[in-house]
Amino acid sequence: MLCLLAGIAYGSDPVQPLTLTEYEVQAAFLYNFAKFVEWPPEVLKSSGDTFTLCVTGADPFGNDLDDELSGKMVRDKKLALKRIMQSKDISTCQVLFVSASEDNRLGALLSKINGLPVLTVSDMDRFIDRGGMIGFSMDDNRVRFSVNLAAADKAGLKISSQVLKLAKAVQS
Amino acid sequence: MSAFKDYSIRKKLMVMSLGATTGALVLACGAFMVYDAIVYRAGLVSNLSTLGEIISSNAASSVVFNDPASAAKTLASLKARLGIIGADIYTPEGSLFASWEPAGSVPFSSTGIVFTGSETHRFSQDALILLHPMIFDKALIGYVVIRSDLSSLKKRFKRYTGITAGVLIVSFIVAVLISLQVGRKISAPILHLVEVAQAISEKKDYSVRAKGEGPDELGVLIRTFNAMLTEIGRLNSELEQKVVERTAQLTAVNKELEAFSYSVSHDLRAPLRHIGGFTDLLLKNVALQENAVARRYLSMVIDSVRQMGALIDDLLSFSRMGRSELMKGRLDLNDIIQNVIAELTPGTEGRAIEWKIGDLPEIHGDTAMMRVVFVNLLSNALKYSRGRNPAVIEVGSERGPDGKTVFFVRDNGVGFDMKYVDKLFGVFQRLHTVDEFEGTGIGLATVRRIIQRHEGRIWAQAAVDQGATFYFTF
Repeated sequence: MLCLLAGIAYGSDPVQPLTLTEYEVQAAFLYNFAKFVEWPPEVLKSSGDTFTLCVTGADPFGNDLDDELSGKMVRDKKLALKRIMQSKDISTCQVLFVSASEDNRLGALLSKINGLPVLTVSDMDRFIDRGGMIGFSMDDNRVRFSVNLAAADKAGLKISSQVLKLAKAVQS
Repeated sequence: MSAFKDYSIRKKLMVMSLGATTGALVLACGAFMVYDAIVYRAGLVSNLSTLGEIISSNAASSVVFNDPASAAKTLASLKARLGIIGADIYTPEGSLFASWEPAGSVPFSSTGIVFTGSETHRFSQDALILLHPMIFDKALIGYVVIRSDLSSLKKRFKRYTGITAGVLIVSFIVAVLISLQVGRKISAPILHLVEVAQAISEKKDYSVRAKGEGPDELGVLIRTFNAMLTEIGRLNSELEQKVVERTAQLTAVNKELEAFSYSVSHDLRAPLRHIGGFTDLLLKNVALQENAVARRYLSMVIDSVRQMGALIDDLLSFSRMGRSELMKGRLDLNDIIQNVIAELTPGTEGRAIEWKIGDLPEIHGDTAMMRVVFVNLLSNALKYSRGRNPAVIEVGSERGPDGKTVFFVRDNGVGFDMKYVDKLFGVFQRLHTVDEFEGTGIGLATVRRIIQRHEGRIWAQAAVDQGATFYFTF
């Protein structure tokens, strides 16, 4: 996957003339965020030996997410994927990708998660302005992201400076 | 170095101490420089490795989030580091992901880099190249390659070489001063000893003593040398004393013997004259005129008396030549020789004789004795060349190898066998029988005695039937 990412940067590389779709890149980013964000220790303890990445709303990834992330490990835990429909299941997620289809219900969703140690990520417009933590955007055909540090802090999540320095914008 | 053994002791000591000092210093400095170079290189590698680790963790997110610009920014943080001439990040497959080089530097080619999972480094002509694998969350995500120039290493080497050269020069000077000082202490007594030994060998003065009897081996040598001198001096004076005593004894005995033989010879003359005189009278006695046998016996007695008289005369002459005072003066040998020849000529009627007389230089000597010398030598030459026709007798002089004038008397007579040459000048020694050649065997002994009294030397060269040559010097 990472190799694939490197491949994008230098698309002229004759060995791997690959063009990844926007969502393939986003899937990889989701996995990377899991590595650069710290959850409160007790959260990781209670989650058992799985690390759960949830998608809510209309899934834009299709099979990409399963193809690329199944079998991977995060912080010595097995990565598990969940598509959730009901907001009550949210508390079992460590990362939640909110599909752009949930634009209208975002306020209710975020108020439900409020205070829970769940990293919220979405590619909908103005996601972080509206209380989300990491928002994807396209910039010159590249996937970029912005971070709402205040929202993350409130949820007890620490986003690594390594990630912050790559962000297009950081709100605090 | 082959000439080393020909050096003086002082020079040898100097060369030795300087050689040892310089050699030891060069070795020590060399070893130190090599050790320092190794340690310094290891330090460079370790520094670069730390930088690689830092870059690797700082750029990990840039790599996994595929942000080459951010990675390049991280790499650019190295510009504050001295000696770093460039850094790159490569993907695990070896393609360039991000790169930083100081402005104006030559772009770096990754050719020759072997991408492996563990850290490696390589020293090229003027750079150290370090490859550090980037591990993130237990996975290889790329490589950091950092290049450092070796200017600091070279500067350090130059500085060390300078310091080493300085230390070498200073220690060389100090070593020269010390070895001069110490060398003088060692060589001076030896040189002194050599001088004393030479002086003694030249002047034979055994009372001289070497100075400097220190407690070391040189002192022992000098003490032993002095002790040996004392011993030699003692032995020498004892020997001289002995020689003087023996010489005195010998001279006394010799004188006694001479006096004895002189008086015997002298006293023998009177009875002999009586025998001769009365035998003569008897021969003239009328009563015996008819008795041929008696007359023959009587003439044989007279012959023997004459022969004995000649012998006694020769002995007395020999004795006189040893005892009488030398009346030395300048004398012309040419005159003497002409006189002697004139004197000898009456006995040579009927013989063909060729005289070859060279022009001889004047000498300083006793005229009477010199006459005896030539009478003996020339009459010998005449006698032993009796059978030759013509007899050739040569008298001359030549310059010897030592510059002295050598006189010679040469004949073409019967000569003699050189193995008997030792007997030639002895009293009563004859190489021929009286039947072949008459004579008493005293002539050459007399000649040698005269030559020796003139502080000269006489010797002979001959071969059977090839003639004989007598040489002498004064």
